Amino acid sequence: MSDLSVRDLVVKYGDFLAVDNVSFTVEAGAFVSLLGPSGCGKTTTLRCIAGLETATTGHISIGTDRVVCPGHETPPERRGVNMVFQSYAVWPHMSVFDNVAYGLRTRNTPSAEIATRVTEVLRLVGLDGYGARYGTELSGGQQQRVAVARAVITEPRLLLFDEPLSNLDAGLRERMRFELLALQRRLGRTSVYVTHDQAEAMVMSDRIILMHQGRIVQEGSPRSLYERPANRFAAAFIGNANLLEATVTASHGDGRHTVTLPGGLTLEGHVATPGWVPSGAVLVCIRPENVEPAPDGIPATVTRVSYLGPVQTVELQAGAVTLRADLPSRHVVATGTALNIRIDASAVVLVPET
Amino acid sequence: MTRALLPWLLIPLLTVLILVPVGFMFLGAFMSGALADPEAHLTLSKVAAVYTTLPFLRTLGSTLVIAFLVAIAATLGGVTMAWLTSRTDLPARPIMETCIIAPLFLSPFVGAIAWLVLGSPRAGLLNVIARAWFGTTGAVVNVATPSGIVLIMALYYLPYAYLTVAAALRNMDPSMEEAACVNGSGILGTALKVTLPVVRPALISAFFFIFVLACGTFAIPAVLDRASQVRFLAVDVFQASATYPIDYGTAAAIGTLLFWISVMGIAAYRFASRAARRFVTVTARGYRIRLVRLRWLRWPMAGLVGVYVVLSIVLPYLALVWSAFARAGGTIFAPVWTLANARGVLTSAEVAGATVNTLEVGLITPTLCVGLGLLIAYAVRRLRVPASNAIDYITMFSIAVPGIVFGTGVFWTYVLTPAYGTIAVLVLAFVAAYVPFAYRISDTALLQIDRALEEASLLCGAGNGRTLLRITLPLARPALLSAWIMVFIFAVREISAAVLLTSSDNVVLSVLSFNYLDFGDVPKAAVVGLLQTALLAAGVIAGRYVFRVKLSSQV
Repeated sequence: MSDLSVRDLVVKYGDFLAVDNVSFTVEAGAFVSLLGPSGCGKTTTLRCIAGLETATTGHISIGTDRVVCPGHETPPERRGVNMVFQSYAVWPHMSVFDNVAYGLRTRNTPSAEIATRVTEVLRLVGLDGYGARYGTELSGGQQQRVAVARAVITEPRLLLFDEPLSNLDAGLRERMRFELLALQRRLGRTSVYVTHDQAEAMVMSDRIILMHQGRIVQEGSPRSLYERPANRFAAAFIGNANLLEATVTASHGDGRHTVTLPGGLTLEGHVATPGWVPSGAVLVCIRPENVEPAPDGIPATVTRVSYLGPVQTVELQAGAVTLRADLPSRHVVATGTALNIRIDASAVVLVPET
Repeated sequence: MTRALLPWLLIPLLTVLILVPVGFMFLGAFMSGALADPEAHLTLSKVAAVYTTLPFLRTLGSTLVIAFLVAIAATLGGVTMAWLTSRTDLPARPIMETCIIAPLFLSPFVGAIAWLVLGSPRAGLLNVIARAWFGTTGAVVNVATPSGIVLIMALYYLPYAYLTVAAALRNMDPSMEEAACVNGSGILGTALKVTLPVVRPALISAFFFIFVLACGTFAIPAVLDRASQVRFLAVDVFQASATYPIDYGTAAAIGTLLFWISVMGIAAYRFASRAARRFVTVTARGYRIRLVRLRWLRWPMAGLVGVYVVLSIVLPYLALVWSAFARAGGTIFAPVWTLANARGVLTSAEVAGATVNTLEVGLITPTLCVGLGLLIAYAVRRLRVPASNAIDYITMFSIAVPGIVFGTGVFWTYVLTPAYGTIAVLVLAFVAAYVPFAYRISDTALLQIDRALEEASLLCGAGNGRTLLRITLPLARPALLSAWIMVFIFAVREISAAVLLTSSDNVVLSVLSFNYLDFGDVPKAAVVGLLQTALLAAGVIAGRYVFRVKLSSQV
């Protein structure tokens, strides 16, 4: 059963289409990310689900309740969802305890029950003993935990996250990814997570919905998005990619094709987008880690080497084609030397432009 | 739900509060007599007389000239002091700043009474002293002249210019000045060529703001011009409706004239302050302000501020104290102190009544104003209710209506209702006049509250009402308190509308003091003035030290 269903959602600001006909569903207990660059409509979509933004047209259902449909908008406070904000939005005039207890007090929960549940949730997020502190006395990471505690205590049907980690410094951000995910797994709450950070989305999500210019570009598991990008944008936005313009010169059935790159280099590749039959000009996507040294491979020249520790990023010139390769650091590669390479046919993905 | 209903509540409310009185004033201007008069009919004669005949045009001329000179003098004074306190190494700057804005929290009307005691041509204390010490003859100081009126008004309006310009100076990136210095300009050169042009829009907007205030001023010319024969529109409105032969139609017609001047002045002010916003050069980096070294001018410049404080606060209050507590027989050199006068006034039934009335008005007005102001700001800024623009315009409209004009309009509106002559009618007039201040301060406060704080509350299951009460209100509390204190001060010292709407039942302290003055009883007026000042001071001190309100930046 799906816990959230968004159908034909459109949000217009004047002439600007912030969200352009977006539809997706989130199954119960899943952790789904809306991923995309800033301005792609992911946050607007999330705010429509929360009820903080008014949909121009479209339908949204949470569980069996239709919260948005033509002529009807359930106000946010009656949707049974809760959200963790980018700015944390910890109320500065209340203690940590009062912040977390707020949602329960709104529901007129008996105060004895409030005390036990707040204590329990604070322990869950690792803020044991912080109840009497004020929001302004906490670090960013701790405020983040307060925000999470405040959201989960109301037992929302949907837990929404609006770039919750983007204000934290890099080290803490990585730790919090795992903490948030562990918490979500423990609570089993259906979660929608908005982020512009593809690594974050990859690590945390069961499924990623990739958005661009108000539309959904592709959705699927992190692996399928990385290995089978739907178009140029998807290939470039998720991970690093060599995106080469090529021409289909022969088709072998079963989605396998031979393509010719500028300068006459030919490669075997396959189509990952179901139902798409390429012909003529196509894009070829090769991930840098799939470019391997091979003595009998394609001759190339090393034009630049960037040493990153575990790997080195090597820029290669193979005829008219420039390629980026991530090679293990243990082989020393020098600029200006020759290097033969090979690319496995399974790593050459043919991608439509759009 | 509330979102759709709120405009249906706010627009009629604001219309009745603000637009209807102004509309009735225009109606009154075209009536031959009071609304209660069965003979009254529509006529053009009053308007024609006011807008085209010589005595009124001459009053218009002198009002404009005086207001212009006041605005120039106050702006020049304000900009000098703003530069001194925010850009130089003037000694004791925080105290200086407090002293410069202190007159804002005092009543210009009480100040005018004090200056009458100090500077009337024959019995004025300054003239008496000058005659005794320097053997002068005649008047050294005479406040009952056009220049006297201009100077005293300028004294009390200077803080408005000071605040506007000081804010602009503080927002300016000092590296602009440093660049000028590095490029070889001297102190004065930098101040004139770089600092001044950058704050010019703030200066212009301060000028127009003071010009509009001065045009509508009633208290200072009403107190000082009884001898001087300087005609002033606001005083003419009062005289037409309060002294024999009473002519409400003419009062309303003069009110409309004053209204047009204010509308034009406010338009210019808004234009200038919009330009001023473009010049805001706040930078996020924390910079240390490099102060100009005044060197040997440090103490003389401090003296300049000192002179202002002496003229606007010290001398007037000394004069009031002298007037209130010195027996008639004594002289300034051999005073005979007495409490008889003060005791007599303070124990009288009329003072007790007026104090109660003042307190009632002074407590109800700011409460209603802040409540309404916050509601409007929340509806417009947060809920973005339909017709938000209309609500904003109607609310801000009353900025363009001088107190005396509101008084006239409220008079015409409520004269036939039971509210007339009660405290309620004063509260109606004051709330209408001061709600823009409360609205503006609330609006700024809301802008500074991250929306997510309120959204988090909604998502925790609280509705708009609970969110406003539990989240927005506590977070905006400091700003709302300072708005409350500001409106309290305005309401306690207000005189121009109160004097038009007075009856035996709703006399407030300022009107009582004015009445005493009218009977020539300056000592009694002084006692009431001191009492009123004590109320104002109590409000300011409570705000400053009990509620820790920052008052300076909110006017």
